[in-house]
Amino acid sequence: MKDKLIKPSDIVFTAVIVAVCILIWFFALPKAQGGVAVFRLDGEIMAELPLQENAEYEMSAAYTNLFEIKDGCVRVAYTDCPNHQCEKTGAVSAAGASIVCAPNRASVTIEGEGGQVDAVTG
Amino acid sequence: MPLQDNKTKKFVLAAVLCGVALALSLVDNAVSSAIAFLPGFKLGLANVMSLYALYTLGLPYAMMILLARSFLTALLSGNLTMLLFSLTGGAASILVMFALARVVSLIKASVSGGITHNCMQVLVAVLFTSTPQTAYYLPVLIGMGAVSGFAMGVICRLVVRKMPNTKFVYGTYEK
Repeated sequence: MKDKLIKPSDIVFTAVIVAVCILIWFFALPKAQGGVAVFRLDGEIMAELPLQENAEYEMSAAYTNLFEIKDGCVRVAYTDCPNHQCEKTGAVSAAGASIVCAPNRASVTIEGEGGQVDAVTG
Repeated sequence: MPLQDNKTKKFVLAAVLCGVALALSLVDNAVSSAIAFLPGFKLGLANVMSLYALYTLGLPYAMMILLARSFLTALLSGNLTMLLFSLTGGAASILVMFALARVVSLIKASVSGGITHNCMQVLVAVLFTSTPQTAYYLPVLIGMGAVSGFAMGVICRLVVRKMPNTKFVYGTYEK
């Protein structure tokens, strides 16, 4: 079999998709510093805390997530969920960014000042 | 003599592929946790087996392998939420690759499959938490799905090369 392993069109196909994603990521999404952390459990807003003040917030349902607000960032400080995806997300601070813990159905979303949710998610 | 001459050979091949896919998922889980820099990021190594099974054995076998592999991985890693994620993502990507297999090259089908897989993961996460805002990372996940899909497509081509007796169910992997 002397056929080519990768054809140029395959590379172009992949590169175009990746390029479009990078462009969207860098230009279309707001990178403004967020103002409020909105904590949701199963879609319902449980709390809204300002990012300026250091705080801790715990959400317990199927599992327990302990969120920590520190220096304008939110991160998951502790979780007992099985996959620890939320913990691995690390600290987020940009408006529109979020941390999700699917096993616990919990999420925290960063929103801009004045709660312009729809402007952020577009 | 091709490996897929009769039902028994197909069955054995499917079982072997399932075993390899299971091992690959576990390796994938370990590697992905070690290098995790984004939530939901996975190499999708087991996708190579889905792709190979789809091309050599056909859609029903690929789905069966996915089902068995997902259940066994969930049992072995004790993570039932992951079962939902891997089943939905895997099934959607196999369906998309099945639809594209006749139309585009194997690598392009694999790229599309990787993207579909990651889109489904985000969709399930959104449904699970009822929070559409979590779709924020979609562009990054689509980009990474494309890159890993490309890599897995190349690996699959290499596997096909090493097994010259393979017959393709859906046309060729050229185009």
